[in-house]
Amino acid sequence: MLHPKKVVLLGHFGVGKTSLLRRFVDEAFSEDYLVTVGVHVKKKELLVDDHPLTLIIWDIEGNTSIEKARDSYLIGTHGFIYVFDITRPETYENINDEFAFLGQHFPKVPICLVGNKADLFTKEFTESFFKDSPFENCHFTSAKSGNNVEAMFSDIAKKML
Amino acid sequence: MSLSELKKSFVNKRIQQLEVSEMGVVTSSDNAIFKISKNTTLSSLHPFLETTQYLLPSITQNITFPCVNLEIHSVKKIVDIEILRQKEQLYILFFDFTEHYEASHPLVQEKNENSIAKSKLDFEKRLLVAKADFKNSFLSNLNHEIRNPLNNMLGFMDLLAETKLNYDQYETIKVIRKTGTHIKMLMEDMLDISKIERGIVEVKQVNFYLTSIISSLQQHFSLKYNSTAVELIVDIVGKVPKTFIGDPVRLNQILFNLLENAFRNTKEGTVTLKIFSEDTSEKMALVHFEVSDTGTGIPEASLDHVFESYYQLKLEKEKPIGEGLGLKIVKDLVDLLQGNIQVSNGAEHGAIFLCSLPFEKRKSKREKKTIKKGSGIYQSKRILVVEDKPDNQMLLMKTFLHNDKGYVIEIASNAEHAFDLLENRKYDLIISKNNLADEDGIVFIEKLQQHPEKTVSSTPILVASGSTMILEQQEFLNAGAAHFLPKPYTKKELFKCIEKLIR
Repeated sequence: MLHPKKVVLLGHFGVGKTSLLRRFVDEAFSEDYLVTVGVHVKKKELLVDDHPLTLIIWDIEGNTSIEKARDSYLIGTHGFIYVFDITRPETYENINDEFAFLGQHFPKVPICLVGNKADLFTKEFTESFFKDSPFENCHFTSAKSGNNVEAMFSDIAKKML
Repeated sequence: MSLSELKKSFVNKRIQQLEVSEMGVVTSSDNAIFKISKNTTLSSLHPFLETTQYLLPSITQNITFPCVNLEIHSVKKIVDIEILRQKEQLYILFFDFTEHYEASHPLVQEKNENSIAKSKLDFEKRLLVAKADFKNSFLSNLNHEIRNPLNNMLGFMDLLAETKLNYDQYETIKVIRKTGTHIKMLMEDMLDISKIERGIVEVKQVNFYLTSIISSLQQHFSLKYNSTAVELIVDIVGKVPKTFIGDPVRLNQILFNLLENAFRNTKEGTVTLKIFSEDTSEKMALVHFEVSDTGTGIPEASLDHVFESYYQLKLEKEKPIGEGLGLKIVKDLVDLLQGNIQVSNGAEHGAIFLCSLPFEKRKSKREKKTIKKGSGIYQSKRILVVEDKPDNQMLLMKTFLHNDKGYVIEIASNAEHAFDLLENRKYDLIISKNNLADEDGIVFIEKLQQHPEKTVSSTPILVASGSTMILEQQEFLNAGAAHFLPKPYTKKELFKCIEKLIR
């Protein structure tokens, strides 16, 4: 049995990090926005290519920049999920800088880029709007409908194996 | 209880100390906040502590995890957690700050909600701007497509009206001309709105006589509505300066549209233009133009909407198209000139539009009268027109036929043909279009400008086109064109332009 893997959800406030986690772990969703203060940690066991794996997911309070996140929250992280809101440009305008920061401080840790609230635009529009770098391998999810949420967590799980 | 005992009791309730092994097994706990039994592994208590458990062997320095939401055996707390290594011993301290963090929660919630609402508004604004840009660019292109055929239609109509017609034919032509002119006005209105919204209308700062604008408007409306029972009254109240510095073209457009609107909504009585001004500083004055009528007025519920595009059409469907744009243009132009406009209903009847515009004051100077030079005898002027479309060629030939200005035209069907003709003859003017059959209009102009024969390179070039794009017009002027005449134009406008260029 592998040790549990620590995954940290990063991104601006209000992008849906908590909703993604609730959808993935509790299969629930609420329209109400309730700000996250500090950190909430949840756990989920899943099978990745027939291997059992435990994810311990840290849902940290949203920040306009990773540099503003509390340092200790990021210690011992095995994978990052960087979430942005596809309807709010300020949540993805500095993604290159954010990824550069992670690359410098956590060079071996895989990152998964996630554009949440994908239910608010059509699939075609989203794919054409975010077709260029750095969005090529981006997952477009909807915590509201649950679309692509499971697949996105499975992807980061695979990257950490 | 002594002060030190009180403090000890307070601290005891809010701080819990755990002693743990390297493997994450609890060896002792004071259970001040959570009940944790000896020999319990951290991983069985909470996922947060499970991740911490695997970190323990690597911890060499003290670490603090602030604001951690924990739930252990149904006790929910928000705690700061410190992991301390002292020699071989590992300690975990929980500091209960639940009340403090819960008190700050609503403030953070409000701050974040405001920030998200603001960014959503910004995004919606950007979407609206993008939609408006698309609309304006669409209108501009559509306008271009319609202007060329419209120009031909109006031109042939003018020529037809000059032929021998019986009464019925003449009346029919009058109706067709009126309809064509109406379409032309509509296209111009649409274009104006599009230009203002795209921010490409330049506001001029030139000297002008207010009295000239007013008397010209007075003359126009008195003539136009001569046969109706509506009289135009111009009332200049108090001392209003005669001259200002500002944009007379836009002022004229604003007053024209307001008066036109008033006349259209009044069946009998008067339309009054009242003008008064006030000095706002030594240099500036605020000039008020009040246009009132004795018509039916505007329903109260509609007063806030009269400046929207096509709002009048929604009110009265029987009105012809085009009447819903005039007031929208007025509002846009007033905003552009940094003025203000209000609409209300009169005490008894009719609507009142009060428009206030700031202008720079200027001392009136009497201009010396000059007598124009010239003997009045016209010499023939040779014009080379480059046009490939047969309809356009015919219209041009008929337009210049029997003209009393002495203009003689020759038509080249493309650039190559034009250069052949230029080899053999000197022309006073070249009229070209934006795209020739065999060459781009800009390239053609540049070739003319660089022509080795000075008689060719110095010939003025007039570009006549349906394009109304300022940038495109500027490109032609930069390439060397002397003037750009947008279609549709009247014969009078064309001749006036030619006269200027080959004077």
